[in-house]
Amino acid sequence: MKWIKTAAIVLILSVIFHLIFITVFPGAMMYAVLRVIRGDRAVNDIYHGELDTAGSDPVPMTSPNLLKSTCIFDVSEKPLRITASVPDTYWSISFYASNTDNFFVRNDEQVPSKEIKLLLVNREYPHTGKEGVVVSPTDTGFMIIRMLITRPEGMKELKEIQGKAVVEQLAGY
Amino acid sequence: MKNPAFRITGIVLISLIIGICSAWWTLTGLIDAMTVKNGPWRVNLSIGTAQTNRYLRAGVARIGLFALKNTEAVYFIALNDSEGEPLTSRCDYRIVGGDLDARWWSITVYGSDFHLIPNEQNRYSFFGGTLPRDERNQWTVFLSTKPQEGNWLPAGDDEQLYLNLRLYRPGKSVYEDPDTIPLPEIVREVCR
Repeated sequence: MKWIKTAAIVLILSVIFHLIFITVFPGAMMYAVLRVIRGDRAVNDIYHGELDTAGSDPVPMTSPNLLKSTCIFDVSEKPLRITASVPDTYWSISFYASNTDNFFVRNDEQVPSKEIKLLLVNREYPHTGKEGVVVSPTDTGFMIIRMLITRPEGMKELKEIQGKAVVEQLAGY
Repeated sequence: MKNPAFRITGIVLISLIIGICSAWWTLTGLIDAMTVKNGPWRVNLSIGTAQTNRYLRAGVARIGLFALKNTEAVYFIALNDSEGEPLTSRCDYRIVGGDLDARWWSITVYGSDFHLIPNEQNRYSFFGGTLPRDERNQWTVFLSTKPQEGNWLPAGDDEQLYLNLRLYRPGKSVYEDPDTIPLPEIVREVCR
């Protein structure tokens, strides 16, 4: 009967390891990809990228039609103010929690003016209901600003607009 | 194994291997298990949301981190042609479709590692708005390793290809009837 007991222990442990792997994998994958994207840049620094091409696409199934600006954020101690210009083409700003969930997205059609200002805060921030305040469910995460490139000739103008996106760390909570 | 330390280490190691391999196997089969099917296309509308279960979240982390909520973008993935055969660079394909219910859309091909396929043209995708239409308002994209006349999408030399049809700012029909809305056909032509 000893082998039945051993088999039962193996089965239980296998299920536990299986669940741990499935649970931890998204965060670990995100961490690995963000390390490549981040390079030498500091947390809360915005990076204005180029169009993805083969060999320069660290994220699986990335879109090669979108010009992206990215930022690894940490709002545990200070909120972040994000300011960006909105072009005439498709544009969106989105935030992801550390478990990869997309908790906020706004696109150009939902921004009344040609500029957007957002305040990214953690859950302890007292004025979470205010317009333009985005509450991150996790202290750390990732931001992406996407801009659609439909023709190469429009690239220069969109790069200028892309460069106007700024992330600033404000005083503590 | 008389030594209990060896026995415990062995049990833990075997369990670890079984646990991780079974998890990886589950993730590998996840695309095909995506809930809604429409011809060769698969889609799951809960991708990117907090309603995503842990398996789907892990599967998305493997094949497409940073997906958007379905109100912003819906991702239809194909790993087979319209006859159910795996997409491979050993065959040429004709992808034919009409207008899609979205603000804009694109179709992109990926290799077996889910990354863009290197090619001299740096062409990985077609944007729906610039694809020429025929008299029936249909567009055609040719997916092939060999250069093709017209809208050629280079297929590299991978055994398994993946197509991602992205619909940004999708219309209501995409949410409500993802299994019946008209989507492009993937017609297999010649194989080598």
